[in-house]
Amino acid sequence: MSSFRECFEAYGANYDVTMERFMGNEALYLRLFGMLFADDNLQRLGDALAAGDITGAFEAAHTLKGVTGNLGLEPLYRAVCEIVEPLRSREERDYKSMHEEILAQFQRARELLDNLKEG
Amino acid sequence: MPQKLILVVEDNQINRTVLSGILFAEYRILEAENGQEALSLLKEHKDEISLILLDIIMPVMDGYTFLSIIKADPAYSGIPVIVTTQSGSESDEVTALSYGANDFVAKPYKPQIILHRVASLINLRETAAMINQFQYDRLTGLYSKEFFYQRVKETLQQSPEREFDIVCSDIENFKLVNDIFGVPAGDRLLCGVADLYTKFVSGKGICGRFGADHFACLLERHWEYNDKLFVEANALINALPNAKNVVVKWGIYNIVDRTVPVEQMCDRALLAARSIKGQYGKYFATYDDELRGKLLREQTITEGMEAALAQEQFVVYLQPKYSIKDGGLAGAEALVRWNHPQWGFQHPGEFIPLFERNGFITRLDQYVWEKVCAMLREWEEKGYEPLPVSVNVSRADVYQADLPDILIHLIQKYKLPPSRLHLEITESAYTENPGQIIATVNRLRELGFVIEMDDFGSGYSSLNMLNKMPLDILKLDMNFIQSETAKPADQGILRFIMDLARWMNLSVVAEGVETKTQLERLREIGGDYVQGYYFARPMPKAEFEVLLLEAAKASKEKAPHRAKLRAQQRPLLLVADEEESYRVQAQQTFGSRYQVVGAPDGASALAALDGNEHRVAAVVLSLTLPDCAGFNVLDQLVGMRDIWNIPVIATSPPSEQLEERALELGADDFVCKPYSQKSLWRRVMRTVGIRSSAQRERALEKEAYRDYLTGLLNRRGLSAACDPIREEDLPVAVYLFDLDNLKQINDTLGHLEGDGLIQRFGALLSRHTRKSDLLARYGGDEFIVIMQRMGDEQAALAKGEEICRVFRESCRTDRVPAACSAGIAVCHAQEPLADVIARADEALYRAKSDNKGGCCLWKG
Repeated sequence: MSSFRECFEAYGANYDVTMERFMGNEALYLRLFGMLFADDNLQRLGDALAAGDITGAFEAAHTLKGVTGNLGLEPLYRAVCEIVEPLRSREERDYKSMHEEILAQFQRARELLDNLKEG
Repeated sequence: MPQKLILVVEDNQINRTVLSGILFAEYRILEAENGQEALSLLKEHKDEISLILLDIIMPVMDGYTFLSIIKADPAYSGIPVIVTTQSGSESDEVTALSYGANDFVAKPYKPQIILHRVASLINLRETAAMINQFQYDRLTGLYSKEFFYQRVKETLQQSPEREFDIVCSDIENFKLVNDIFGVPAGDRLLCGVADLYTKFVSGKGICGRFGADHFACLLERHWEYNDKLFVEANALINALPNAKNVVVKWGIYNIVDRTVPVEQMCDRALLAARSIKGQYGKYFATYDDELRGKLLREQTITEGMEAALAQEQFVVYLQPKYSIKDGGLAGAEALVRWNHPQWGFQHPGEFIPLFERNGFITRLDQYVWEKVCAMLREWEEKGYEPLPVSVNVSRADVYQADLPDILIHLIQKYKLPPSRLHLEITESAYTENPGQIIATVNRLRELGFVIEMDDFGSGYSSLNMLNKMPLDILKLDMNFIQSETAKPADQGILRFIMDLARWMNLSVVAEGVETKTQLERLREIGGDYVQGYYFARPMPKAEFEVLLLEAAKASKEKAPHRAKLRAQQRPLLLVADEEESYRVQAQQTFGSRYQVVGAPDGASALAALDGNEHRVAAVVLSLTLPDCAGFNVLDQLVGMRDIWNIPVIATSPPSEQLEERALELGADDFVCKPYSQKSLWRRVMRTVGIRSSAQRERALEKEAYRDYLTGLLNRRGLSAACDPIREEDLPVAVYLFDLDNLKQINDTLGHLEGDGLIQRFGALLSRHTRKSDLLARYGGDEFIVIMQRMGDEQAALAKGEEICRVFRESCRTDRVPAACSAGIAVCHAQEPLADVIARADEALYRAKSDNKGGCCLWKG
């Protein structure tokens, strides 16, 4: 069994910087972390990309960036950042693979949440 | 203090919760999910919200739209906004700032940075609001004093090539506007003035209000200032709805030397305005070398005044006052001169107003009072004629609560009667707070000081006020007389004032008499005393003493009845009789009550009346004056009855014819010669008494309350004098005395004896009781005594027994075997007096039935 900090850091997040944002309150963090999976922005991002709606995709990705950044989920955050800037400038890119990477990182984050909850 | 409120506008709940979590410890938080929601919260809490944290990208209404709405609305535009952006999106930040955001913070949030930015923005806004408040005068919206200074400094620095002036204004008597029409009306007037200023100065300068009614502006110099400009400005101000004859004085300071501090420039402009205060027809003054010299001089005077007082540089001069009637010296006014070791004699017109302004006058006045008292003492010891000297009492003196003490102390120190010191109080001193001044002056007058009203006619006293002011002597202002004497004799208001003075029984001193014409005019209308250069200038003590000596000599030689300057003159009794013995006797009889003037013939009788009509109480007129002048005088007296109703008591040797003729002509009474002084006294009293019916009524009222035999209260008097029993007077003892055997004495020895006994008992009661006790003759032979704070029953009983014993003993030597009995009741709690009296009555009944001549204390 690992501690919160160990799990968190093993995942690739910075415990101190992140938890300062939550006043060191791990329970609060877990509650907000859980809300990430109820958030519809990931769904919206996928739908918009599938429909070729760059604006909608940007808005959803932009929000996800803010949220994941605030949650300190570094790997997921980086994956979201990858997609936000090209979307903002409406570049023609391989958004599909970027989206897949985001989905993969979401899965990792879900596992982190489960670990943290168990811990 | 409640925590400040922050509105967090963020669509994402996680972000919102994170933000709220960061702010939670130090602020209260309102959350909104989108711009729309934020606007309605803002509407509801706009005055409470200190800051908005705004996410830019939101559904429903995005951050930019929200920003443009609130920044366009003055109700919200002042609230600082911090935009939350994504890190690295510079364009968002720039756009947000261009929409009016005050700052931004990036996600992911760094709590320390957010808290810091929030705090400093809130603080900045509050400071700005405060500065804004200080910058503008809240009432008029003009610049405040400090900010005006600041703006003037900036303007001068920025425009070195242009020339400027500071123009200040001062509304005279603005306080009066506030006083009479109320502060809101005064405020509206100030706003009106501010508007005029704004319009006038617009584009040419700036203006500010320096508190109260002082306005200032900085104007670029385009013109020469002239009366026309300010007359117009004054007219405009007076056309304002709340202006009632306000007078505005303007002061100008031409800015030449820019190194002079702005504060001083404004001060100087204001000083210039003040220098023409009260000067009719002067609208503006420029601060120049002359004014500067004057102000510097005032400063020098101020610096030197303390030393001057300590070194006795102030010298008391005396200006004689003369009686108009006989030209004799009647008194003097003490005037202060300043003999400065370097500057020489200083003009009082220069330093007195200054001392009045800076308060030093109070100390100078006291110094003069003491010097005058010392002089009066010295003259007393040298045996000079005891003439009064008047001293000035300034307005500031009267406001001092201990003024009567100070004066009394002086009088006692120099062993002088207070009437020797006349106090001159200027009429205008009564205009502010008349109630208090009247009270103080009344007190002084009760103490025996003689009050002269200085500068009468120069102030604003109404006739009504004049009636309330405690005074003895009117001093007419010289300017007033100077303009009055130029007018035809009959039209003058001066005569009216003289009549008024007569009617109020006041003497009149005309001050500043400088020409013979003035004197003649005063003589004509019947002034009493004069003072002025025509007679004598103010002079040093030594010179005045020469006059005093001459006066003493003159009064011995020719005029025994010199008209000394008197306060309230005593009423006058004229005794016109060819026989000196009657005149001398009358002097002895009536001297204490009246000023008795004897006249051996008709001419001198009429001369004595002339000008004194107002104070002649009665004339005792011999019908057998030489040359049949008696009836002539009577004729004259009766002839002026509608103006002066002087009672006349005619006298002559027995002659029915003369008596009848006199009464027919209008004499009030007739006394046959030779008459006794006692009978003359009664006649005069009766005649005079009828005339003063008010006094007589009072006397009658008093009589109604007094027992005629004993002079004690009667029953009616007792109930009038008896207040309900007060707690602090307890215990109260009530005695009922009954003279034993009175009926028997009346029957056997006659009522005269009985009355005598009653009188003796009354006198005895008075002797054996305290002043505060109430004594009354309750019935034929019954007396009541009410003694407050009696101690206890035993003390009350002892007192009663003492009175009975003394009375018994006093009667033992007499042929009347009299005694008295007493019933005593003591009350320890507040109860109706009648109940206590009833108990005393019971006790008296017991005393009488037990043993006559004894005392009985009521026991329950």
